[in-house]
Formats: sequence, C-alpha cells, structure tokens
Amino acid sequence: MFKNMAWSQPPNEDDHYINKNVNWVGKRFYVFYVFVIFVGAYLANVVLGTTVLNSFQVWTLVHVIHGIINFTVMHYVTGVPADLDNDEFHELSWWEQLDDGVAWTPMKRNLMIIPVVLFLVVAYFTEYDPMYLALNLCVLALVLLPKMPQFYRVRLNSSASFDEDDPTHPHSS
Amino acid sequence: MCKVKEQAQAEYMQQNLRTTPRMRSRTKSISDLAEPAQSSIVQFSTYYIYVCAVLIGLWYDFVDLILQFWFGLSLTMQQLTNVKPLIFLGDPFYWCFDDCRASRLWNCLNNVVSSTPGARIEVVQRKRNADGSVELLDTTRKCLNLGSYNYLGFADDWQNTCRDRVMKSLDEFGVTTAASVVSGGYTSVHKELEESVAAFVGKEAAVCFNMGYGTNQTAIPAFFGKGCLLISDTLNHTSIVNGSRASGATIRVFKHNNVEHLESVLQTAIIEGQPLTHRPWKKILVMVEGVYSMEGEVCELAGIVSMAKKYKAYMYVDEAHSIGALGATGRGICEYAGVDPADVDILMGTFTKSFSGMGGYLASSKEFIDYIRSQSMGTVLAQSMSPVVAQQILTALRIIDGKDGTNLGRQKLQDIRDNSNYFRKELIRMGLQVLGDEDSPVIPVMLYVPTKLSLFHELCMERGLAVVCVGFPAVGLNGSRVRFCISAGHTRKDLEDAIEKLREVADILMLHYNNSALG
Repeated sequence: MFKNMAWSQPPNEDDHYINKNVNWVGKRFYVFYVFVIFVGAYLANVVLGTTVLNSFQVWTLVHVIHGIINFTVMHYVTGVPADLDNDEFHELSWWEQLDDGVAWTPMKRNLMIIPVVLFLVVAYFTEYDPMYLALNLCVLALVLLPKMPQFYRVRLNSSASFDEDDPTHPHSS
Repeated sequence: MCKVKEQAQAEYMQQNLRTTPRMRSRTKSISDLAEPAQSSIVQFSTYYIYVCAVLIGLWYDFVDLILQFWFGLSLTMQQLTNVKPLIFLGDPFYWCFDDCRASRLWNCLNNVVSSTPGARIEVVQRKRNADGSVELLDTTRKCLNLGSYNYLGFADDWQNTCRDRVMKSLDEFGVTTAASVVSGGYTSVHKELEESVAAFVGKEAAVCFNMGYGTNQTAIPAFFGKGCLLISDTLNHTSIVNGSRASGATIRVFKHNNVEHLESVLQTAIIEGQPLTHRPWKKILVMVEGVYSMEGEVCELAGIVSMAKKYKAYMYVDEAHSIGALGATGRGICEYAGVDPADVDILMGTFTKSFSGMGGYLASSKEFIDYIRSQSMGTVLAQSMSPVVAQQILTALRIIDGKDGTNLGRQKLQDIRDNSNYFRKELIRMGLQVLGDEDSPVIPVMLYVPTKLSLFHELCMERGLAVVCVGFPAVGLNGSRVRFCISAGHTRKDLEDAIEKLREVADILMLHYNNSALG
C-alpha cells in the first residue's frame, strides 16, 4: 500500500520546468489568505448578519463558501494556464502540482492547518450546535481529505477519466 | 569596457537613493523567482487581483454549466451576456484564465504594426466592440519603438546600408531555396555566411538554421540523447527547454547564475551517475544564455566556464540577445566576459536581434558542425534560410566587423551601449525598480500589479511610446513587468523625450517602488 504514496517516492531532481502556477506560494500568501477570510467573515456579518441571517448561519456560510472555493480551485481544476509545459500537469490539480507532489512539506502543512483552524473557530462561534456542526464537519472533510497524500491522484468521479496505464493509481480500474 | 560600468555604478551610488539592500546585488535578488522585492501591500493587491480574476472566471463557467444543464445548448452565457470570449479553445476550466487574461489585457496583446521596426514604428489603432471582439481601425499612430529587438538599428538605415547588396542577391537567387540544407538548399551565400559567422565568433565552423527557436529545438536532440545529462540555468528560454526535452536526455537545473550551486549539481551528478544504473554519464552539457531576455541580466560566464572545465563538462552558450550587442566589437558574451571562445564548446546565436535578419546559427569545431549538419532535423528536413535573408545577415555582419571600410559598425556598437546605459541610469534615478546589469540592451521595469500592465500600455500609447508589457505566465505571478529594448537607432533626444513621458506615466501609476513601499 505504501509504495504508491506520494512521500515514499524520492523527489524528482531532474528537470524541472519551474511550474509558475505554484512556485509563488509563500509566507505572504498565507497571511493574505487568513486576512481575506477574516475580512470576508466581517463583511458577511455586517451585510448579512444584521439583516437576513443569524450569527450562526453567517459563520457557517463563510465556512461553506470557503470550503467550496478551496475545493474547486485546489482540487477540482486541473492543469496549468499556460501552454509551455508540454501538458505535463494536464491531469494534476493545483494541490498535486505543489512542491512536485511531495507530501507534508511546510507549505502543504500550513495550507492544511488553515481550514482546520477555521473549522474550530466556526464551531466555537456556532456554540457546537449539532446541525451546523454536522454541516461544517462535512465541508471540512471535503476540504481536508483531498489534501491527504493517500488521495494523491485519486479521482472519485469515474475511473474511466483516469489514465488507464498510470502506475501510481492505487485503485484497480 | 568595464569603465562605463564602474563610472555608472559610482554615480548611481553617489546619488544616495534609497535602495533596498537587494537592489545593490542585482544578480541575486529579483531574478530568483521565489523572492520578490516588493512590499506586502503591493503583493496582497496582486494576489487579490488574481484571486478575483480566477473566481470570476470560475463563476462564469459554473453558471454556464448550470444553464446548459437546465436549458441545453440553446442558452449559454455567451448568449446571455452578448459578449464573445476572445479565446475559444482550450481546457474547459483553465481556458477561462486565458480568456480572463486576454480580455483584460487585450490592448497589450496582438498589436498590429504597419511599418519597419525602426526607432519609430507605426501601430495600427484598435478598439474593442461592445460584444467583446477587437476590431482594427483605419488609423495608425507613429510611436517611439521601445519594444522591438532592433539593437543595432539596421531597420532604420537599411535603405542606405544593406539594400543594394540584398536586392542584388534577390535577383540572383530568388526569394526561397525551396529545399533543405542537405538536399539542394545550400547556396554560395549560405557558405559564405557560415564561414563569416564562424570567423566572427572565433570558432572553426558554423551551420545556419532558418529559425532561431528551431535551432535549439532541432540541434540539441541531434547530438544529445538518453544517457546524457543537460544542466541548464533556471531561467533558460523555452526553446532550450523544449529542445532538451525532445532529446530524451536527463535534465537538471542549477540556480540562476549561481556558480556554487552549479558545482554541487555537477558533483552530485558525476558521483551518482545515471539515475537507475549508476553508470557514468555519456556527456554532460552545461547550458546558459548570454543575456537573459526577461531579466536583462548578463551571465557569469567566467565562473561557469571554469566550473565546467574543472569537471570536464561541455559548455553551450545561447547568445540570442548578446551577439552583436555586448562586447567592444560585438562578438558577444565571450568578449564581454573575457572568456576565450575555445573554452566554450558550442556557441549558439540568433540573427533576429542585432543583424536584422532571421534564423540562428551554431558555431563549434568542424567535426561537430559537420555532424549536426547531417543529423539535425533543422538542416535535414526544415527549409534552409532564404538567400535574401542570408545576404542581409552577411552584409550586416560585414558592417559590424568593420570589413566594409567604414566606421559604422563601431559607431553602432558604441551607440547602443551609451543609449542603454543612459536610459537605465535615468530610470533608476527616477526611482523605478529596474532589473538587469549595465551594458545590457534589455531593460525590464517592475510593475508587480497586473492591472498596471494594461494601463501602462494605454498611457504610453497615448503619449506615443510603443512598449511591451509582460505578465503571468511568461514571468512569475509576482513579476509583471514592462521590458524596454533600446537600439542604436534611438537618438539621445528620443530617449530624453521618452524619459519625460515615462516620468508622467510613473507618477500616475505609482511605480517608484525603489523610493517607497507603495510606489
């Protein structure tokens, strides 16, 4: 089981075409990310929280929207917005392109911690109400599971869309 | 030639400008893709812009998907908004990024010109219709040309310098050779050109290709294959990267201009050998460029060549931007860096920049060139250079070398050096963040924020300057810049006017990143 895991393969020193899609992630990006979440939460609270929704719903909404955007941008969309890479990253999502697919690098750890901390903050502010907690937990699972190295190159829509002759595919087709 | 450099540097330091510490050691700072030298607020705004662009694009696609799901193809977003996207084909979810970029930067991309690329260029005006498409207007605007690779100004005085000889060869040989080099497309003009080029750069023999990009793409696979190691600089041009990949050899990269890292890569490679079998490598080739076109930086050739010699690796230098522009007599990076051309095994260059021609060359020992001529697809299957273009390059080369008896070549080389140094100094004095080294004719100025690309282009066009703005993905996400290419055809007055106009534009757009955090 372990030989297909991302961390057990030695990092590929050869090449690389510097993947400009992912090489810009750094400390400033994390600060920006957290900053945007808080600004978004504050704006949602001001705009929606005082008029349409109650406080629990605003926090849950922020968490759900963050989860959807996170999943779409980092795990659903594949490829690179440039045609200079010989289609090397055509089937790889943004997360899988990060750090050449090596798992548990500092950047990846930070990007995993942020949704967890957000979940805890939201759970606290919704006072652990079971319904909202269940919804938030589902969204957290949606966001956190694809980041696990066990899910490297795993696609759950249909196995027909996957490369049939890809040796790193852990499931039999 | 180093005196100009030292004088300029001393004067610049004397100005006592507020420079970030990174600015002083230019070759190590901004060119390293992972470390920008910008303030957090500017970088946040860059991230915010890209996030908005991507999210808006994804939302557009999502709504399109929903509409198609409910209504079938009878109702799409295109029909709903009446705006045609500028880019149609591509991966369904990532073409939206291309289209976002093309729509927002439409005035920077695909400009149409209607004159020779001299010091002045006529740009056809365009406008964007309400439905999103771009339309050409009937008017043109004559602008100062700060974007074309017209380094020695041959496009300006072509009528006087090269025209007669070129037209004569047009009558003799016609426009095309209608054959490849090995099968009948090798005329006496080509032979003379190859011998002249070889003598000019200081090598035994040379072979010429019809396309500069194609030279790298077809020559590297001809000689290097499986079992060879290609060690290339991080910032090498796409043609080198593609040629290396096409060859099937193993590729490793070393940090830009970093001689210590090159040594460690070489040591590791030689000690470990080939990837699985650990057999020794068949050949090891170190590939660098003379002048890097997106950063304007000159290669540390002396250090790299000594490292390659120490570990007995071959050297390959791509002089696309440095041949005819660097060095006292225009012989490129070897002359500029004081390196003996015999130490560099393969010298490659293009004729598009300084010689006002087309195509590329490879110069090396006679055996190697004969082998390449018979094995490379660029000579075997691709068409050989047009004899007219070959004659143009030959004439330009004769002028640069001084063999036509006039002082014109020397004057041109002096002009481009003076012009680039003057322009660079003035831009730095203004407080703009300028990349690159002295004497290089390529002058990139950082804009950082991607929306400034489009507005900079528009403001410059209003004032009669034609510039080239570069953004993601040609450069990194945080590296949006405008790249000025100075030529010997520019007069000092042209450059002074340009500086005044750029001063206004820089004030409007807040580009003085060297003076303050927000520019």
